[in-house]
Amino acid sequence: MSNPSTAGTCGEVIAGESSALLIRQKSDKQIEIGDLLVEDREDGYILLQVYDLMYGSQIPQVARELIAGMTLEGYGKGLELVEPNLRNYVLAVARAILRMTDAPHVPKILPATFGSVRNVQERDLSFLTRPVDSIHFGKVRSGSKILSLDVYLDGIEVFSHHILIPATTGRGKSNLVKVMIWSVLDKDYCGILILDPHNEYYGKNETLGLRNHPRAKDYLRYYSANPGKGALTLMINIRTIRPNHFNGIIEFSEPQREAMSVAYSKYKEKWIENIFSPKPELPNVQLGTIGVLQRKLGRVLGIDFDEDEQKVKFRTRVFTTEGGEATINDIIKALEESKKVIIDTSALEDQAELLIGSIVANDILNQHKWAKEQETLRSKPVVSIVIEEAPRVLGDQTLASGANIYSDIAREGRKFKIGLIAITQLTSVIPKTVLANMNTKIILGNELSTERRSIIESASQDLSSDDKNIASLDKGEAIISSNFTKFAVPIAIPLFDDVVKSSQQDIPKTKPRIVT
Amino acid sequence: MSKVIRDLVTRLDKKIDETSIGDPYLAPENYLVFPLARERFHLIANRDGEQTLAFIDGGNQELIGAPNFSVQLNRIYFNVFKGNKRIIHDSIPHTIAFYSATFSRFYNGSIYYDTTLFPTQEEWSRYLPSEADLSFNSMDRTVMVGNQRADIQRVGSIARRFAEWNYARFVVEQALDRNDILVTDGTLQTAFKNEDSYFQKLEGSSLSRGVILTGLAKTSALFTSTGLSLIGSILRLAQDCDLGTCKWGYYPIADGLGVEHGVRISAIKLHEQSNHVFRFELSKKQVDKMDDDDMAGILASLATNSSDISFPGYPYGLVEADASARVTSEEAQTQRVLLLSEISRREIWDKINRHTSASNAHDVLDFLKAGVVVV
Amino acid sequence: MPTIKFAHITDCHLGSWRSSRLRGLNLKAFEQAIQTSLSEKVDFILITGDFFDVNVPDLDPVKRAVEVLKSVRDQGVDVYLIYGSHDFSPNAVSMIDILHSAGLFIKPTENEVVEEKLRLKFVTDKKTGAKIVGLSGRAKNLDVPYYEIIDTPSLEAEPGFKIFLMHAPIAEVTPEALSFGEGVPISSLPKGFGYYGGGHLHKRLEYTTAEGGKIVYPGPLFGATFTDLEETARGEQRGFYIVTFAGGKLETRFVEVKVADIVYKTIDAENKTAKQTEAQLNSTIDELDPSGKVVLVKITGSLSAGKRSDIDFSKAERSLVSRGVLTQFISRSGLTSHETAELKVVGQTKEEIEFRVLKERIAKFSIDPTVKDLKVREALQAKFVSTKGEQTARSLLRTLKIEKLDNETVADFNSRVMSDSQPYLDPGNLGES
Repeated sequence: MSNPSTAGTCGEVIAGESSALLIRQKSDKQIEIGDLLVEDREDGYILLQVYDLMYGSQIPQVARELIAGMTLEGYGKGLELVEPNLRNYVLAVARAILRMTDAPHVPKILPATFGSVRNVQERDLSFLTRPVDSIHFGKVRSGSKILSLDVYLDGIEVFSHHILIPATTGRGKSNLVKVMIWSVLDKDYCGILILDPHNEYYGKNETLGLRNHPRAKDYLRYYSANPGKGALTLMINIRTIRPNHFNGIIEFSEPQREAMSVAYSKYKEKWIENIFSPKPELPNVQLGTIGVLQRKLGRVLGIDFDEDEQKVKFRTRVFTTEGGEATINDIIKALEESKKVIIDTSALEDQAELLIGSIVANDILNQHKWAKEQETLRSKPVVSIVIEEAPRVLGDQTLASGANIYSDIAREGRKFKIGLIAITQLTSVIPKTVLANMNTKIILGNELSTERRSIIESASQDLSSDDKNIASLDKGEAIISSNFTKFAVPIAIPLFDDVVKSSQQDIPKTKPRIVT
Repeated sequence: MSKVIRDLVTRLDKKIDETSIGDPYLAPENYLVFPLARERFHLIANRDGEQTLAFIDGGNQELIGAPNFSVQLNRIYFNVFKGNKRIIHDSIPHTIAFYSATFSRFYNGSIYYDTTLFPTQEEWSRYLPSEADLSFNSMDRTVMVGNQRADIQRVGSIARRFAEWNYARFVVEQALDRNDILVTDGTLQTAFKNEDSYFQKLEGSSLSRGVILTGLAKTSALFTSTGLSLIGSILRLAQDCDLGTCKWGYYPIADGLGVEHGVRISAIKLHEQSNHVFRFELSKKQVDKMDDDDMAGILASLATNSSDISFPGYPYGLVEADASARVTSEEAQTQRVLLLSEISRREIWDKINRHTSASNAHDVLDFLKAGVVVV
Repeated sequence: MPTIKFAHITDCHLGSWRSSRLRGLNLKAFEQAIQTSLSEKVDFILITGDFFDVNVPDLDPVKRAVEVLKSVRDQGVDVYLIYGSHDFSPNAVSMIDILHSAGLFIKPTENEVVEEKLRLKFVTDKKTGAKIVGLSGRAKNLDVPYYEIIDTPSLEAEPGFKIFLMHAPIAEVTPEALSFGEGVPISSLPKGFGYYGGGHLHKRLEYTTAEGGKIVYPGPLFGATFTDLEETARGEQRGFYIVTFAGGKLETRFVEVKVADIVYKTIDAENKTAKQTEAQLNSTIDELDPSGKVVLVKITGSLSAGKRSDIDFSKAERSLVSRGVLTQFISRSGLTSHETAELKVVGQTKEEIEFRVLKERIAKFSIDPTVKDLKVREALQAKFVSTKGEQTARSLLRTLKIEKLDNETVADFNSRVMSDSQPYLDPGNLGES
């Protein structure tokens, strides 16, 4: 039996099994759900994580109920609970998540009975090193305590093996993504495309954003339908769109798909304009089919046919025939040059947003496939696409009607250094086969039990006992479950604004050298 | 059915007749009895007691048994409190444990039961009673049940009783000082052959060190001269004296006259909010040297330790000693498994089983009640 | 407000072409454009950069340019000219500076930095009151960041008809083939100008902004590269714009400048022998009527047998000359053979070839794994790996290609080379590379 008066001890293991160890908490300590505890051993230590707390007592529950009743109802005069700390205590339920000897590995032994445990310290996790090409997520968290140990993962592996960020509203997913991208913004090993339906990543007016990065000028591109000064206007020439770009974005019937193929074969890049022309000449295509195509494409692309002027008109300037020819190419080039590209899709409908992403994703996937054939893929950065509300393209209902470029990337993108960062409130509607390919999950708080179950079932580590842990995650807290971590790492994500402010202090302002 | 209940209750009411509560009834040849009287109530002062209290208790459970042998696990435990503050002693272990193995033997036309002791730690053997004192004729009056031969299991548990007295002596000698109070669980009465010698040694040590030897019994089977329970009658008297919301000691009830059970018997109610009155005994030899203040001090110290909300009026030290000394069924089961696996390893299970099956039919019935099929 | 009429010419690249004939045609195009402008009685002429092909060109085209500009000035027509990415150097006096000093044109690029903002100063055309302002171009798109710090409110507040001149591509309107991802965002331009005159893009295009302003890139008058001529042969019109602003309405009219017919032929030599390719070249040439024309032939593909040097190109050239070709150019940089497969790179212009070779070479470069220091690794990564490595290499190559000038001492030349290369080797200037 260990000496419980050892400094730093917060409890002792008293019972349980490997997946549910019972630890009695020392009365002057406070163990929290999510705490990382360490049982020191001669050849290393075992790392435990607490996932539940309960009351323990030497006094039977009925007696405790009576005691409480006596106190509450005023019958407790002259009475006290003798040695309360000895007789009433907290039991923490934990499981061993790591065994450290010369190297960390999966634990296969139990801690010693009456083995004392202490809170984890930074030196215990010194094996969490920083890879050369890394993403920064925040600091290690034990319960609600934040350690001064940063968590970095290998960026190339993590991006190309996809990231899933499941979280309900208000749990800090935007903050997380901003912190992640900020940490890699000026890194040359990755390019990132962000489809931003809420225009929250770039920053505007007084709101801080990625534009505040010291190297934003060199590494950040921002496209918006309503750009501020210096930002690029989102304009896409419809002549850069091909029929396959719509796969999985808009549902077309077989005749409609065939009609599109016919139009493209005949008119090449002007196929859409010709569909909207007064008399489109498409052999073997019925007028009714053309009408439906006009309606579906018109809705997404904002195209109408002006009967008076007898010409195609664009409701918005996003999709156009004037200008915007190089936009897709420029975006792809930027990504291949390791830039981070934000496309503000807040003024667009869902399908339009997904279409733009589909166009870029298709082209970049093809480029990377070609590079692989040419054996030059190694020199290309890994490209990752941030997509919100991922079930729109990865949900089982959507995929039932057919694959799309996003599901293609989810399935095989890692072979070509292309990945997804999929953000979702509903993990349960994403097929297991897709989830299995998302090898890093950054789990934020989630109050929906069905969602937690889906997340847990698809995690890279055994999180079967972390249901309460996940439910109790506060804003800014997360668990990283990844093929590239030794254990599911609990993290505290810094506030993005704080990250920005601390970086501004380091950068001396330089005046541009102007020669005209 | 309700008529039967009504009749039953009528008879209860009639038979528990408190018209006259009578006086304490104990064998006059052995005890000097004091009639029940208001003057014998002594209120316990509302002050913190200053004397150190040591509480000692033991527990045991049979691991395997047969008519001809019984293996038991025994534990003795003590704690020390001053008021409600625990005091830890390094001079003597707070708990000792030992196995006892009792075997029958046939000698001179009688069945004898002999017990051998196996302390779980070698150095604890000195706290244990002599095995020579643990040999009983199965027809010894002190161990018989009615006119039936003594049960070997019951005889086996005598080792624990003797060990409690013996260990208590070491506690008095090594952990307590003058005016400290030792409280044993139960009366200071001995019952078995050879038991008294252990009590005498304990009493001797207590006297020489000035440690006050007491016993507190949770239950009492004493009667009054009108056939009522003595404790119930004292409670009735207390009610009549309007002492319902007080803590008090009632003494003396009786004094032992002989060497055997040389005690003063009292009754005590240790908390205002308690409904429990306990039989309390002190060594007569010590009582004779005490005055009222001494007794008041002892009761005040006991009362201070009896304010735990989980069992008001019962010393917390005894609650804790009982819990710590107890050999639980789970623990017994674990120990049983160890024992049986060694038996199995030695390949003597068949032989053992032949004898244990002679007395385990009751266990079979228990299993059947639980819905388990016994093959 | 009186009617304002002006000509917009750009990317003359005077002095380009090694071939004297082509150089002459280029100059002729310039002269024709000026002549037409004067006959159209324009109020002023705008030239938006790359007037000369290099910052210190041969004196012959300079002389001719001076003569033309002088005649324009003598006829009372002002020329407003901004520099481009080719015709000036920030580190030394360029020929264009001398022309400016001589008063041959007005440079509407005066500016000052006020509270870290670039405040541009309008030049008001005396004749029409049009307000003209602009930003000169710089090599390697170094002028693009300037657009972010322009004090646009001060420009937008100015009343009257305003013209903005620039020698930079606008990202959103640049054609795909010409985009290298470094254009100026349209949002950086000051709003409310009637006309935005652009240069640098060798393609004609017009675009109307959301506020109704007109962005115009006239494209080169003749062209400075093989690709330009190729595009011309394919139907791309070359010329300049006449712009009229009257009654609040702006009208633009493209005026074609054609100084020669250009014929363009391609020959696919893929899997043909050298002999077969030569035969096809000759038969293609024979089928042409090259008289008075510029003939361009491009041969691409990988020969199945023989080498490039086995093909008698001069025979084809002699055939063309004998039949009165104005000038000819047979491009064979895209022609390879299995025997000499070192150059796997296919490109159209030397810049493209350079680009691809560098890309290929640098793709094989990686940091020595024994270098463990994170900061050193990051610095190496930022300068020499992947796309950054390509940029560093390209920048250094471009700088080191400069030639010693006439009358420049060796010491001065060395010093100039060092000072021009310094930015790309200095780790502190990573952002400018």
